[in-house]
Amino acid sequence: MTLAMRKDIGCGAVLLVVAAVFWTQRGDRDEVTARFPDFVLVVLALLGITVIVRGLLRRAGEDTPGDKKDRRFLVAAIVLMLLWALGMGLVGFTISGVLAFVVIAQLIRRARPSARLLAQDGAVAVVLVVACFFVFTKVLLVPLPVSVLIGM
Amino acid sequence: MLSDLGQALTQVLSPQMLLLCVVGVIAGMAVGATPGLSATVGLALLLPITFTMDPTSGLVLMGAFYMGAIYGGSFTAILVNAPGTPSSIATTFDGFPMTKAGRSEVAIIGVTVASVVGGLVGVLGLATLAPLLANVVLAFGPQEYFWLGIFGLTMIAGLAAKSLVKGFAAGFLGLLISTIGISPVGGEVRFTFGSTDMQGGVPLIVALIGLFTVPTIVDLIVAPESRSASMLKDQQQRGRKVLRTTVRDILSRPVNLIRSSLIGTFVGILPGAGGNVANLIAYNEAKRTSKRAHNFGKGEVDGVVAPEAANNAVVGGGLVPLLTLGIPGAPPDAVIFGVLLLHGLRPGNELFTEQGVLTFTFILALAVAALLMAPVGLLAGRGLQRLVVRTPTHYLAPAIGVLTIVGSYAVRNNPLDVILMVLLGLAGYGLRHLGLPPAAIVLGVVLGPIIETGFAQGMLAASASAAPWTSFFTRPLSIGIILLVLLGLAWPILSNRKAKQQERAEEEAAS
Repeated sequence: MTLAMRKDIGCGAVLLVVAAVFWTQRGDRDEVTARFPDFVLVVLALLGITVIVRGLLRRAGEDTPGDKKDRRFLVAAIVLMLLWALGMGLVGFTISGVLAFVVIAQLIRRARPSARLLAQDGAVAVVLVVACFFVFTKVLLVPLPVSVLIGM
Repeated sequence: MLSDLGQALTQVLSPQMLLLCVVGVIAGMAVGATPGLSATVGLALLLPITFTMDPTSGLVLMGAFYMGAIYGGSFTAILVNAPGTPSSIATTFDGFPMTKAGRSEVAIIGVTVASVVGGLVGVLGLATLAPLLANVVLAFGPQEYFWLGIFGLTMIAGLAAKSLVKGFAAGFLGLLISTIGISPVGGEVRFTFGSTDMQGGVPLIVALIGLFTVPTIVDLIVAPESRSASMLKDQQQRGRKVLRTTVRDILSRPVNLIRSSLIGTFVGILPGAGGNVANLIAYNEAKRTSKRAHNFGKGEVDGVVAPEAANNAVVGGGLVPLLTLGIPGAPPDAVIFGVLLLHGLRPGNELFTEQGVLTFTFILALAVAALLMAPVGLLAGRGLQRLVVRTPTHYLAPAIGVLTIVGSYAVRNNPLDVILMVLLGLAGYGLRHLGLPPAAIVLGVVLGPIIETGFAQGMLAASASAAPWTSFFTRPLSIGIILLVLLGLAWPILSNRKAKQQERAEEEAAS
């Protein structure tokens, strides 16, 4: 099975799963207002089936070039973004922001972390995140989540 | 009326009003360039400041701020693939590829020229056609809004780079996301997975930031070397003549500028549509009619000119129903409506007759603000562009992350929105690899509420007839838009066929 076939079948399966999961969550029913979301779900499922069928009918020669990415960095990026989003509500905007900033900077540098680089990245992170915190809380009056430890 | 206009002109050219225009444009650009802070949020924040001002100064400041905010949204759309406001969604389609190709300065200059022209055309529409256009708006019913949304969906044909089926699947995923929460008509709760937090649905800005920005951050972490190459290219291409050449290049194709500005003015007049729809339609029309259609999506300057001319034209267009009928054309207009009411000014004919000087000062100030975007924007925009280009990737990616997180939180001050934004962004990253374009998903999220509300309201309005659905096909304005939809669907097929025929003819001639 070629990469293009696998992508089509995977894409179709995702569409079908999304349509099925949302179908179970349709909630309150009203004759007029339920028609639109129902229509969207049905079309989505049909498009999913079409994509799968097209994938299965692909000829062996039709393939797309695969993009070689370092999976370790991909997984790290996904985990980091999720932790950052979850962490902001728990430890506050500033702490989560500075930590995530430094870790992303280190990841992109691809170099072994050294005390000098960590201090440099940390300083930039603190300046940017704290500046952002004050602009949003004091100028734009957006109350950002704060840490109970440092109050910002 | 002419004496009012003369007095207004004198007033708007006074140092105090000019200063307010400059301050408004700069502040608006700063807010507009921040993902998550829309023009509406910025205007709402500005509202208390105008309490202490006289009505003219307050309105002038608000108008200049609005104009600047819509323009500022294009900077981050071009430089980091994060539209500052929903009005700049389509700007990312070619703006970010231009940055990747080292042509971000050309893109910034392009959007500046487009925004100035669009802003002026919108103001001209407001000043000259207001009463006439206001009557056209009244003829627009839910059926027409439904078809307008469907017309917007035909853009998927252009966004789907490789597979039309996958493009439509992405668009329908967007429509599905837009239906999460309480239905706009009837108030039924659906797709909330038992969470009361989800009843408010997925805010457009949260979806927008997530689907466009998170994949960019992930890309920068996974393959930072790709950005370094484009950064070098940008430094090589910068020259003294870039400004003059780009301005001349854009002005040499006035049809795109004028058409996009007219689209923006007209869509702005339609209450509820606004810049987020206008920029998409203008982009689609620019692509559909361009001789360089094959370059769209790869870094075509007309692809950034069209949406930016349209979204700034919306500013003037949106004020037409507000000043004549008291109906805000777009959400920011509702805040300006608040300022009018606060000072005891009632929209309608008397606003132009009894308060003529004030009204014309406000309209002329919008034109001045549009003109000011050229010097202010070129300085600030190119400064920001150089800053972004020179910032090392290991600082740019986390800096975009900070803005992304804070921007999505600021929409409703809700940590759940940040989680939702990241989840949508990561899903968008995965779906992109499966061939589902995130831009088409965003298109669905933007158009979903317009289509659903139009459909439900249209069905309810015609419920007395035996077959209410026929009302969607019998109204003259609806028929006009249906023809546009059919044209929108047929055009890519016809142009593809034409291109293939041309290719075949060239091959035959070569052999």
